[in-house]
Amino acid sequence: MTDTTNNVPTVVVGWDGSAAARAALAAAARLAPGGHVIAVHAHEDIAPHVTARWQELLALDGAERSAELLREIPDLAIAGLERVHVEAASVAGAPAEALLTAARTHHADAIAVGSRGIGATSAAHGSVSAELLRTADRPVLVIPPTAIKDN
Amino acid sequence: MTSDTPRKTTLVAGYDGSDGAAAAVRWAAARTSPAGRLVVVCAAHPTAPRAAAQARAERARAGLEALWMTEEGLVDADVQLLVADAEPAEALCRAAQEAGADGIVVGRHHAGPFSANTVRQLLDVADRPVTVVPPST
Repeated sequence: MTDTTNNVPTVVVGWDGSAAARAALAAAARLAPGGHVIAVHAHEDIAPHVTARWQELLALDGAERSAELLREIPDLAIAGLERVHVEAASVAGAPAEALLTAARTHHADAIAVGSRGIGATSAAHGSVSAELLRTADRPVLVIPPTAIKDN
Repeated sequence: MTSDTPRKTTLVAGYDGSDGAAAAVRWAAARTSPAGRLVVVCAAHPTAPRAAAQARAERARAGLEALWMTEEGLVDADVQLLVADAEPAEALCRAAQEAGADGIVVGRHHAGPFSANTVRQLLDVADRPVTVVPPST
């Protein structure tokens, strides 16, 4: 299972531009000093019932929005970000699955994500963090809602 | 948290003597070494019978010692065991605040004091990152 042949610390981060994602990015940078941080933004698959042309346009739109979000990362004032090599990946698909796949591909040591509250109140949301905590094959770092300072 | 970054990493890990918890402690220890600090928290519900709580603390102590013998990664880690009479989630949060920890690390398992339920509670109240480590890590 653990054929960790690469010894460069690598952490995959779920990226959506939110305050929680920024906190996750900072935590990832802390976990992987001198290593790699892979910021992943997943854009959902397009409903199959729209026409082919629409699918094409929506996919373009999704990918473009995704790329836009990822482009802002290097300019963010996040402590420790300068100590890691940040790579951005825009992936089509459901977020949890996209993060798991990216983590496997990069032999990541952990996956870092924000949380919109996965306690009793919001268990029904089936959030990305909750899904990862259930299914991930490696450590998952979650930024709890109370850890996020308003800014 | 602070802009001038102290390079040392401090983590708090939950431990109850189980294999799942051992995975969490190993993972946390690897992230705090070489110069950081690891606080291992063994918590029993305050309602648990005294003898049971003591037995658990003893098991945790023995388990940790055994971990130290077998894991070379742990040898030079700065580790402290804290036995708490409190709900695990609460005990972990308090320990993390007192230690000024960068995060809290727990194992993923289905029963025992550091179960999924604890993780859920932890995510409701923790004010810093929580890492959940699966058993096979």
